[in-house]
Amino acid sequence: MSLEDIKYTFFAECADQMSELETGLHEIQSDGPDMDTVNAVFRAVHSIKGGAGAFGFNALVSFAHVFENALDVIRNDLSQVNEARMDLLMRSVDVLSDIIEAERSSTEPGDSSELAGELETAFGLSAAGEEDDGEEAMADFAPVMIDLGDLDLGDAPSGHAYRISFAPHTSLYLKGHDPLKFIRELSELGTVTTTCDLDGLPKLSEMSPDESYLKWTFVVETEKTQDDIDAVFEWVDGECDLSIEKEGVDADGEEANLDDFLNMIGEEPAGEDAAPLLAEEDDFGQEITSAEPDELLSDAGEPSPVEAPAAETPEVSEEPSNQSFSEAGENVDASAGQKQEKKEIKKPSQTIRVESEKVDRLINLMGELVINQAMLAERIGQAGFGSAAPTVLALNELQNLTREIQSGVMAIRAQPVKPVFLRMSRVIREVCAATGKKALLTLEGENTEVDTTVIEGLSDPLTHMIRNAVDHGIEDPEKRIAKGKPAQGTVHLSAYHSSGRIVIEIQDDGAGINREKVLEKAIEKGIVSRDQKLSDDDIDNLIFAPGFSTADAITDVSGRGVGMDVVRQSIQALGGRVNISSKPGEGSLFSMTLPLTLAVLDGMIVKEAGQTLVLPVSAVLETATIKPGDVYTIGNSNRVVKMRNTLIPIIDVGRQLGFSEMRSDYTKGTILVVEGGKDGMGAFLVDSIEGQQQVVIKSLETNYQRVPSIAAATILGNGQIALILDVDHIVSNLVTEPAGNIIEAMAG
Amino acid sequence: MNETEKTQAVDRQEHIAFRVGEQEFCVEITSTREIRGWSQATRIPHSPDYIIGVINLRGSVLPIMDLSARLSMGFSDPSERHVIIVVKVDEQVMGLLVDSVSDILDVGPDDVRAVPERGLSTEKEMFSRVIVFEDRIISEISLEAIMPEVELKAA
Repeated sequence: MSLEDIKYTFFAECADQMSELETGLHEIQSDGPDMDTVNAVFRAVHSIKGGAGAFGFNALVSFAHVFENALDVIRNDLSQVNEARMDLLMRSVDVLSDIIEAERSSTEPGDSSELAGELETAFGLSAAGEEDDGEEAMADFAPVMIDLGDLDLGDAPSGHAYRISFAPHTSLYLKGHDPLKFIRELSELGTVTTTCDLDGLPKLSEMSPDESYLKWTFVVETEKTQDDIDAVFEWVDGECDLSIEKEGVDADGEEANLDDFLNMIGEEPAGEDAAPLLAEEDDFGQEITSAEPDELLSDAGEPSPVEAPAAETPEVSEEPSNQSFSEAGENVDASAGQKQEKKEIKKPSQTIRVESEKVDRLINLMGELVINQAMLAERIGQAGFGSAAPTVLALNELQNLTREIQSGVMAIRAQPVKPVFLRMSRVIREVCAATGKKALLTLEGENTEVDTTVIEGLSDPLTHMIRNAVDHGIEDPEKRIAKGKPAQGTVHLSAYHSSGRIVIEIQDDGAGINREKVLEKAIEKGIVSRDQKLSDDDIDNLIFAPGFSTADAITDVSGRGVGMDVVRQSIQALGGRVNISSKPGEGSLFSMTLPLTLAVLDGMIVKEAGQTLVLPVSAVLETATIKPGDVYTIGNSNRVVKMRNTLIPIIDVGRQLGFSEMRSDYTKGTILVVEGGKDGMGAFLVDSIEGQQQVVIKSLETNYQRVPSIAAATILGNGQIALILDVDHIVSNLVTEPAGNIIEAMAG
Repeated sequence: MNETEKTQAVDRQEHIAFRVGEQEFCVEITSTREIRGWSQATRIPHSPDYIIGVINLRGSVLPIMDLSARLSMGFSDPSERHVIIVVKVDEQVMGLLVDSVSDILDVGPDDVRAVPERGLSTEKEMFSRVIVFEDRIISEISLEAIMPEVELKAA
């Protein structure tokens, strides 16, 4: 591993810690301080500081240090939290993240001393006390394993004897560790009695000079806590079999045998039983986390142990408690024992870090599998087996399996939207600072998961919309008070799943859309004509029109030459839609729906003008054949179909795409009523519906370019490429034709 | 290998020659990925007329260009006898529909002529140079120039 690699890992860890930090501060801000959260936040900053020290990122160390000290004040007394201080801490997060970014890109970090000074003043920190502590920070670099010694909550019993069995693996020596060092460090904690176990030593003739044969037992009498002992062995975790028992503590409350033990960690509820056991001793190791059985890769456990010899037993990564374990440990064997000291910090489940390319490769292969399976299905279909033939049944089985594998694979790449959401709180702070407004971001459903490719594309439009919400939506504090609203505005950001898509909503409690102003502006810019009759909704949606901006003066915040049309475009590029609804004086609600993944979709396969086309099933509301009496012609060539008293414009797909002339007879085809975003419904007229099938999305842009009306391509069972229609685009483009408005007016 | 030979090796380039209609053209062999037979393409709406459609090239979407149409030499009627030359231009991969592949040429500096200034219409920019090889005249296609215009991307 080169230094660059280690740095890379450090910055990856930093990103995790920063997200932990932001999450925690956010929780404190919304739910009030609680010790666990404060500790988590403290730990995050501490780890960053420790890592930064090891790399000599001095600016980062010194700022993180002040930050840490400020948090320490809160940690010592939760009542020290107040709004001004929280605000300062939030700003510190921004600065910290800037410094990390600067260090990462090897640029000069900005001056943070001003904020550091503010922190010191606000939290009453003395500059003198820092220096010596700073030295220590340089030494205890711990980006992965966190130094829990600092987190001891103070009620651990003192003056105990600990019995430590220590059996180094060969790898420990290979990494240049020396058992003598541990003995020395232990003796700094208290009185150590060392016994060396020579039983493992073979005859001289059988001895290999590279093997490890010796074991030691240390009995340490110390005032310190077990955490301190743990810290001694922190670096050799996984390189030795280690067990640490408190002497004189009887563990007879539990008769844990191996089976029970494995059950206990395999099942979520069982963990609760075990929790009280350790609460008395260790407040941090207690988080009993168990790998979700259905999570594909979680079994692999932590990536760290180099020579994990536990291959034959299920990887046991979490221990309910040291006590219960030492009982069970006799049965389990030393391989599990070596992991006994692994500290699990408040995390929901075990995770592994995998390069995203590897997952992408897996997803691509999965796509090939789906295509191949479709080909197979087609061949089998052609062979004319009956529906109960064993071949067909086997195929069905295969299809179910493929689907499951697929959702499993997709789940690997699914990520909560949380990091993006948390980034938005910074956006809010910056906009508030620039405009003098006051706004608070509240989050809901931030753990909703969606494919990473979608998340990546989400950040920019979301940033823009949040900026807009504060800049144009939330009023100045005085105005708000005058209206009887709290001076601080609220922007509520929420995410949830709905019918196979993710919905993200941004709700502000600002002034709402000023429709008169919007309309005036739109007329002025020639987007609509003065005599057009527009509903309130239509006017609201005008803000998405290209080249539209209502701010009286171009502000620093949202008037950057890109408007909401860019937001809409980028969301459409992700296969999503965005809508707005607004109540004057009460605020606006932006809601966008996005596909959960950009890799596969459930497609409706249709034939039209000799071409096979695919529509996303999620867009199709219903299908029907047209009866002659249902079609009406409006004007020259606009036809609508009447369905349950609603008039829906007929979209002749072949003609719309330029594949064929307009049909003369509308009753021969089949219509698919589709939901086309803000422009409402459309009745897509096609020759026939072939069926429904999961299709793999292939980009047209990779080798060609974006094609209007086409969202992407896919490969069908016969190896042919079929195009996936961009339903929203087709519906919108039809309605924006001048005559289309007539239909809309009538349909409305 | 002595210095002279080395220089020669560097200067000589291999080209794939192919026929479109009555004429011979070529592209540098380093830009070619593979040569394959014709298979039915899927039409793309709102595309220039010289884009026949897209085909499935081992799981990726490959656009096919009718080179004859692109060079304003009339539309091809694609059949089993046609050949697709798969070329890579920057990061894009494109299939060129041609009548047949005729040769692999080892072209030295002496064989190359500039494209004549006169007598050629707007298509001139689509050729980078002309190769006179034995008694054949072979125009080298400038792949960058024949790629679909950027303005279409905005459409």
